[in-house]
Amino acid sequence: MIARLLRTSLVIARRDFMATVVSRTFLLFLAAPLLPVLFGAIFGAIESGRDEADGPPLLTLSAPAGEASAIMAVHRNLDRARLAPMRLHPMSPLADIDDTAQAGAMLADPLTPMALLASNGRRAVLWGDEKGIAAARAYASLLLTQAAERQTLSTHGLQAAPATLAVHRLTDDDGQDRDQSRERRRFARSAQTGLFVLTLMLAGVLISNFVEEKANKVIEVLAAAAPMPAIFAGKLLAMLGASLVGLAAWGVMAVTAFWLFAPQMLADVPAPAVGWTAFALLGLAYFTVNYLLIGAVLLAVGAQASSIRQIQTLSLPITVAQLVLYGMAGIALMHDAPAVRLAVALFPYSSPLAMIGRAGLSPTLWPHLAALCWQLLWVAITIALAARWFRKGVLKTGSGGPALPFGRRHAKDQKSSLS
Amino acid sequence: MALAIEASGLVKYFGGRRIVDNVSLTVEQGEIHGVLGPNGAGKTTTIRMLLGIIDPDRGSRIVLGHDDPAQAASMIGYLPEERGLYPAMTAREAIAFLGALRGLPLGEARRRADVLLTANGLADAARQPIRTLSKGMAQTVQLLAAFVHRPALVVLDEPFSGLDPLNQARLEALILAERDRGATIVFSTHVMAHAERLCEALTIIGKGRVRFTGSVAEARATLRPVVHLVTRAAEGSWRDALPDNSTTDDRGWHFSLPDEGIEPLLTRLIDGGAGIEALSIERPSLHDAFVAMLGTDVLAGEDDSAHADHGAGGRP
Repeated sequence: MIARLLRTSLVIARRDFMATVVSRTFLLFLAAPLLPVLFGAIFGAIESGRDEADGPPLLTLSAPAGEASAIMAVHRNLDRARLAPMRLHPMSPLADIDDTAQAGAMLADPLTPMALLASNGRRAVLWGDEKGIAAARAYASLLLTQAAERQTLSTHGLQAAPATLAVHRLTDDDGQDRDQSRERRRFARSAQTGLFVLTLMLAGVLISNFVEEKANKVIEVLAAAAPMPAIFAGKLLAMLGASLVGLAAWGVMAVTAFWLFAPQMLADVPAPAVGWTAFALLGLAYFTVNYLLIGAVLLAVGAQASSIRQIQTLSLPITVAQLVLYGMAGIALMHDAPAVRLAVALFPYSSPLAMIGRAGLSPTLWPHLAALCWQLLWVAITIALAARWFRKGVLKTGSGGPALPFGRRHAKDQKSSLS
Repeated sequence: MALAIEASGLVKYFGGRRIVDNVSLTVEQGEIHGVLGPNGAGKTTTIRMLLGIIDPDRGSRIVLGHDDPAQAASMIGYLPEERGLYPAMTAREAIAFLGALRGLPLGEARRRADVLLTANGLADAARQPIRTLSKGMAQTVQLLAAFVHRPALVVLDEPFSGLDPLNQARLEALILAERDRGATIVFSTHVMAHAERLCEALTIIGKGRVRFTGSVAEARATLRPVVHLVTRAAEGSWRDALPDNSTTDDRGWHFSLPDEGIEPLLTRLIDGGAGIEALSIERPSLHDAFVAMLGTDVLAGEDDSAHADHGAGGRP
């Protein structure tokens, strides 16, 4: 019986998987995460353009190469320490630093500098309107002074030695790193959020997964040929497979993008308590069981609906219910009471979210094995209940009537299809 | 002869109405068995119970030796009344998919699909999506899908509906070929001509109840043959020889064949000076027997409260 269940599940899963993945719409599905990235890049570019114009004021520097280099070095040091009040933009030296026409031309640059610091190596002049000179005067003086000192030292073959800076972190009485604990908690919540969002996005399609079979009347053939739990399991597995294909593609894209454009961001992420490898495996496992758990519920509810409108109506309460689960997982993460944490981890539909959070906080691995077994048991229970509900509510068997209010319509439909 | 189906006392309620009322049915292995009845008689519900798609509220069924029909699923082929295939699937893949669901390895199912499609003149359609096929072609594809795993029992619910005469003839040939292969065929219909040509045994259902079980000949024998008589003489003593149930119209006299046969009546008519111009004996068709059995049900309409159960929840 179990062999037949598995075999028919896989036949149905294969058909649904191929029908989903080998289609043009799946390409759109794969490209979906690129859309926000694309929009982000476009709007980011626009914003950065605005920053250029509206950001810190710009001081233009016109000086001979050696002096300009010294002044820029001073500015960079101050900027790194976030002490520079304005940006500094080097330009070619003026032939005559007192020439109003040349200075005016430089101040009319499209970058619209507020002032021009012009030097010929012996004397410096600050050009600008009243407001610009007032804003740049002190900083220009500081730059000239510091650069002169740097140049003087350099002339004598000396270099300013950086002071050695020792670092001591504060720790609490238990010797635990408070920052790390805070970071890990934040990381754990982020992991929960990621799992929640992915499941919300990817499992949502399951609510309308029976529409095709019901619309095309294929369900009657399937119900005669395969056990109903196998049909549910097959559909779940197919959509899980398609989602994993999508996740793999998006994962590769994301890692490549970070590696290319922001490698330091990956380095700055705090390591989860179980370590990166175990966390990645647990993340995959919890995504799988969370998808199967939530997906089985969505499939069960959606299968009862007899029209797209009913499915649309059901979507909101189901999304709210998922938000409640996400909230419960967050409470478990922030709450110190073990009973609360245990309760949320034991409730099957919030368990994956709670446990992925735990993976970020605690290095102990065995509870994850127990949790995954528990969750898989509930996947099987949910599928069995969903199949039973479908037989009673839609195929009309046994003594159960329509379980949803709108199921009455099925009864009418059913009557009309008799003989 | 071993039984392919043995159903006893099947009862099914929907919304408080007894849709199937104590239906018992036996189908011998290797026979073509027709389940006949008007629209709304409960044929489809009975078939769905036999296949295990729904469970009866009461009664039992043994299908190919299994109490639970689901256990015999790999030995059953089924064409539902409401045809259903995935429109984007090719004809070949649709047949292979349903074969794989019934337990065939996918490769073997594909190979058999090719053979079946070619044998039925659909080789060109093998790689076309179902949605591009005509209704008749799509229906043939689904029928072939019901045969692809060479089932011991084939159940066809209204297989001829929606088919043109040529496709109906092709379907009849397919059914006979399956029977010749050794399969048991059960099909439901309300078109008597197909049943008369194909069926070796019948179960006639009306308003959820079995009204007749037996062969086509036995069904026809439930009505007496009708005698049609045309005479030259309009009046005379010969008229006293006519049976009591005689009626007359422009075409002559009509009456049931007397129990004693036609010869004594013929003698009396001749002796009475009827001047027989024409005399024919018409055996009743299955259609006549069917109408005679169920005509009153149809006239009674669907609101007959005999099947409504207004008890607690409408359940037994």
